[in-house]
Amino acid sequence: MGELKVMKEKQSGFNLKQNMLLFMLENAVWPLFIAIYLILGVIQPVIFSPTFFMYILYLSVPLGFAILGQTICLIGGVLDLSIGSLVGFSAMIAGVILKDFYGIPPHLSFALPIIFGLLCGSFNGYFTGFLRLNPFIVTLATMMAFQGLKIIVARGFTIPGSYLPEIYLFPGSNVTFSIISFIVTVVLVWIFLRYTRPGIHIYVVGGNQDVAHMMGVDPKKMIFLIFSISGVFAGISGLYYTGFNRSVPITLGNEVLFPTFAAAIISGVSLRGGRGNILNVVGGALLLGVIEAFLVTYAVSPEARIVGYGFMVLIAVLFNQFRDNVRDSILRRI
Amino acid sequence: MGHNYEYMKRPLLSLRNIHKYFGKVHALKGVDLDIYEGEIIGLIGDNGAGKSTLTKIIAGVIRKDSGEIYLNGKPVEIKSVEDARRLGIEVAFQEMTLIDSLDIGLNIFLGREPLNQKIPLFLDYNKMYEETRKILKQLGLRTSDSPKREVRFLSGGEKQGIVVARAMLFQSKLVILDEPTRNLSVAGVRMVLDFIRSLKEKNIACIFISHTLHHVYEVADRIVLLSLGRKILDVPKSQYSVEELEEMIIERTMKHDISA
Ligand SMILES: Nc1ncnc2c1ncn2[C@@H]1O[C@H](COP(=O)(O)OP(=O)(O)OP(=O)(O)O)[C@@H](O)[C@H]1O
Ligand SMILES: [Mg+2]
Repeated sequence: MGELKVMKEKQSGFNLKQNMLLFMLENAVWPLFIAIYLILGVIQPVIFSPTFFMYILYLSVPLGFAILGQTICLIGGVLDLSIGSLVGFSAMIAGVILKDFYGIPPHLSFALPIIFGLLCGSFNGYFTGFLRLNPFIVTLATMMAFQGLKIIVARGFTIPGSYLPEIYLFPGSNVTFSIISFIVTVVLVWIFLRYTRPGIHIYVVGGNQDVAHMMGVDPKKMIFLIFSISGVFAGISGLYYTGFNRSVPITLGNEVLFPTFAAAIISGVSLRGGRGNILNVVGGALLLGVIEAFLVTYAVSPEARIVGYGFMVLIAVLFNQFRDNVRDSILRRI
Repeated sequence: MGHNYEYMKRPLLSLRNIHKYFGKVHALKGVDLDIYEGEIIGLIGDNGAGKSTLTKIIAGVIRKDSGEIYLNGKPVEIKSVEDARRLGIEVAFQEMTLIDSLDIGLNIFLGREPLNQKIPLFLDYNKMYEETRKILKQLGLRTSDSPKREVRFLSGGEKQGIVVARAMLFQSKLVILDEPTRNLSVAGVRMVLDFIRSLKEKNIACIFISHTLHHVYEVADRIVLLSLGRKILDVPKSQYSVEELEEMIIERTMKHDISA
């Protein structure tokens, strides 16, 4: 009997070690972020200053909202190629309306990009969810459509911040508010995904749509919901980008799509759907933020940055694959 | 014993002239079936006979093309899985409907997760894992220690155990088990057959689908044979030995195949 007890203890000690390793693997994006932050900081010491760190946080927020939207899509087993264009379009059409039409109460102005984001996201959701069309094709089509619409409604011009209500610029331009509101949103999304029924059903649908259907979880409704949420986050992202830039440049949203994938994937969101932790995605967002800020200090051209993003997505996929393999090999043995 | 009396009662569920097409495939060609309370029907038939199709129609997963369904004599429309559940129909599908990336507890409660009493839409995880542990233990499954384990790391038989446990937890008026003994060890099969018998004690009806005639014969009150979408045999088990049944099945199937 004594022997049995020893064996049990040994086993639980073993499990503890394994559990710690699993924990590390699942949250690997944080050590990775810290490592890259330190390395880049050695090359460019200005990165270590508290002000600069705040700047990195601040810089990550507008993109961060779009990343939240993309992550929810990936967890739900779909992808949203239109998210970047929608960030730009919702910001632009809201900007044009605020510039050209008087009589919109300023304190309601925030709702504009979010409403357009929701409408366009629901449009994606209708075609992919209720009409069962392939999300890749649908969002590829709407990516081009939203991009074109953005340029059409802008009539080719950037909207300067001076044409917009000051309160409308506030969320994205105030550093403290920007960062805190993002953190609060992340926590709310995390709670939604983990602790509510619709949140869990996003994981269910991402795991297997046929099974979801047979167990009474309607994939049509869920996919519609997922794209609608993604659209809302695109709208919020547009709002924050507008404040961040204090204008709506015609290029707004052009560099959003790839980083959303890179951040989600490097944070451990499975491309096969059904898996991912939104808190880790913040680590992914910060990781991109540090790299972005570093490149800014060296005045790297936007073209070179796009090349960089391309490779970053590749590296993220490789990293993800590696992590999943190690994780599975541990879990299988428990 | 008591059989004739049972047949005089109103059936719990009646299917009348059920047809189903998949494109050009006529999967069900006018199937009638009556199921009484506390009755165990052994539903058998060749691969592609239409057993699972019938199951899915009753479960609300697919829609019939024509025919009627009656519950306690009243016509009902089963348009969705929720409809079926509301009517007290619980199904363990042949496809082992599990989400690999979710844990055992969430899989058991898939689509009807227990909700928190106070906060709307929020899950009651404690209750979920507690009930999961209880039901797995009751079935004598090894997985009862780890309700938070991801399902994809379970063996085929362990997965099948989860599917049966789900049916056991949500049993209500009618339980349909489509190939519940597949992948199972001798002890596992015993567990499933005991479960089916326990339904009878609670006066719950059961449709048990299996390719293993011996398992079916052991628990069923009535044997129903489907062939190419038609019911070609519907007999009380008590009148036949398993050998006689086997012979009858082969004979009928051959005759039906030739005529069809
Ligand atoms: N979703 C579907 N789409 C097209 N055809 C289908 C579909 N489901 C079933 N069928 C066809 O309907 C017929 C009956 O299939 P069903 O699955 O009901 O058979 P079964 O009796 O359950 O067979 P098995 O013993 O192999 O499980 C088959 O010819 C099958 O090919
Ligand atoms: Mg079948």
